[in-house]
Amino acid sequence: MGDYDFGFKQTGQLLYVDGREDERLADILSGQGSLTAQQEEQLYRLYWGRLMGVAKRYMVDRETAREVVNDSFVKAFDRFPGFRGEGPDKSTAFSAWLVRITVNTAIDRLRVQRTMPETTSLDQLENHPAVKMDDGLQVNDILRLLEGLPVMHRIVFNLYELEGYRHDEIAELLQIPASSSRVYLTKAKQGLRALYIKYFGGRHDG
Amino acid sequence: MDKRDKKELITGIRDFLRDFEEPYNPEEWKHFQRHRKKKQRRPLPLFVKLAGIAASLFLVVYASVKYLPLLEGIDKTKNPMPKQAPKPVGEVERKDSIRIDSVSRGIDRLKPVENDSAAQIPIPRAIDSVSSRQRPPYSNRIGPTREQLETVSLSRHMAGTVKPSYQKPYKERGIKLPNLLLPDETRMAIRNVRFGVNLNPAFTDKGFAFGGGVSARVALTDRISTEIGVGYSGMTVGNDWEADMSDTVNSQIVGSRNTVGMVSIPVSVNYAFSENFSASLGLVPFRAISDRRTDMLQTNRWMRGDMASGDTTLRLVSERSESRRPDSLYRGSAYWGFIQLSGHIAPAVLRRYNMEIAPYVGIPVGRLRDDRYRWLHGGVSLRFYFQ
Repeated sequence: MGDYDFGFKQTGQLLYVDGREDERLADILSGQGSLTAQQEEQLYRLYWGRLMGVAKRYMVDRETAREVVNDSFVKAFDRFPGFRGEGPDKSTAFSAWLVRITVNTAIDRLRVQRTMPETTSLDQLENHPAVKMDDGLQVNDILRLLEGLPVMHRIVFNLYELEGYRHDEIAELLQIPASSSRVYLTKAKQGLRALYIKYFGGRHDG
Repeated sequence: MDKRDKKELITGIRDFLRDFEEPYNPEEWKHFQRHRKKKQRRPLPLFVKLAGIAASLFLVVYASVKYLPLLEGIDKTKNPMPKQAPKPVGEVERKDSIRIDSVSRGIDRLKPVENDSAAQIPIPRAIDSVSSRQRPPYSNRIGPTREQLETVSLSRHMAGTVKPSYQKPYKERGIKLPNLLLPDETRMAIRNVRFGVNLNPAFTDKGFAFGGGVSARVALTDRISTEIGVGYSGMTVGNDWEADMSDTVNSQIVGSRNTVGMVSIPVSVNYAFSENFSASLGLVPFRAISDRRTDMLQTNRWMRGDMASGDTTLRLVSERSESRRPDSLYRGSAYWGFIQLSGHIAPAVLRRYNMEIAPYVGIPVGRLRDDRYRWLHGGVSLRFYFQ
């Protein structure tokens, strides 16, 4: 298992956790008060990959995504005594809580970085109603497509399609009208299809 | 070849990214610890900062009140005081302005002191009467009271000293005179501190700003005073950009505004040219405590005219919308702020109510000077001082 001495099994890009890890996690999450340094490290190892996956969807630069993840862990560890996972599956609640912190941190960071008007590289966008994805596409290829989107389009796409937010929730989070959120989502999808055709020449049925 | 149904792109991206995780590298934990150590240097809580500002303000005012009169007192001993009364008789030549010595000399003129037994000699009425005619009322005078003057024991005053010779002033003889003026001067200086409130509307090139605050003005000399205060204002700055009319697909940001709430500590020096007009030069450092950004978005699209009207020409239509949200571009940062030049005008009608108006211009310095937004602003401050 190499470096992953913590019960991880690596399959492609995905890491899964064995039963022993679940028990350790349950112990940590059932505890009260602040985390010990050891517990923090366990949680960090366990969730770093997941949060990095989330952060990279928002941040173009990997190093910035790394900072976002670390900022998120700092916040999460500081606020852990106030975490109350509802329901029997505390680990799922905890994971969702961490993802939410990471998403908020990433959006805050994008707000700070967004000092100039967006310039999009999507020169001639055409409306492609449906595009089939090639099975050979790698994660970096998909992230490259996301990076090609304007920031607001990318954020709305991530929030709606991947984080499962509703348009009214997105509107509240980004302080924009819900109708704008819908427009951004539509444009993000159009943009992704156009970029896919531009970069990979995919077949499009439309 | 592959006969499986390929996923639609958006569905495929969603499924692919939803569970995507990066492989963990143990080095990341060390990196995190370094990162956290940096982050843990937290800024001071707001109430600590405000307490610090309040304490500083108090110290400045207190120090001004307590020590500036001392400086004035020293100056007074170096410079001869104005004479309290004209020479009552030709032979009495006043060489010093300390009244107690004038009294002694008057006594001396009538009856030379031979020994200590000559205590409680009454003051000649001639001098007293002349003085009382020429001087302002005792209650307004600086120095010993009438009762003190009349009961001074000459022997006690002269004890242990050589009889003063009146050919040289005290200063030239190196004799330190008691600073009899100090207590009254201190009370005068306290009255010279004026506390006030002010309202400061202003304009930047992108909007209206409004603020207000409290201040304390300390008179240093007849013409020069210094003022320190605490204020809050909300200022709107921003920029506009040309829309790309050839882009009919994306929403473009054609303008942005940041409305920044700032707590400032203005410090200024004021010079009075006349009773009605003075000018001041000051620095207005501030800390941004809130920041709200408004983006103006423009979308262009081609629209064909109404078929019913018969005009089916394609027209380029632009729509604008605004997006508001909290921002952290300035929030939480401290700045040197502005150099503030101001003229203070107090015509009689405003002076009656202890008010003055002060047109001013704020010139950004430090980081704000090179900021992408234009922070130059100007306005008219309305100031009211408590007497």
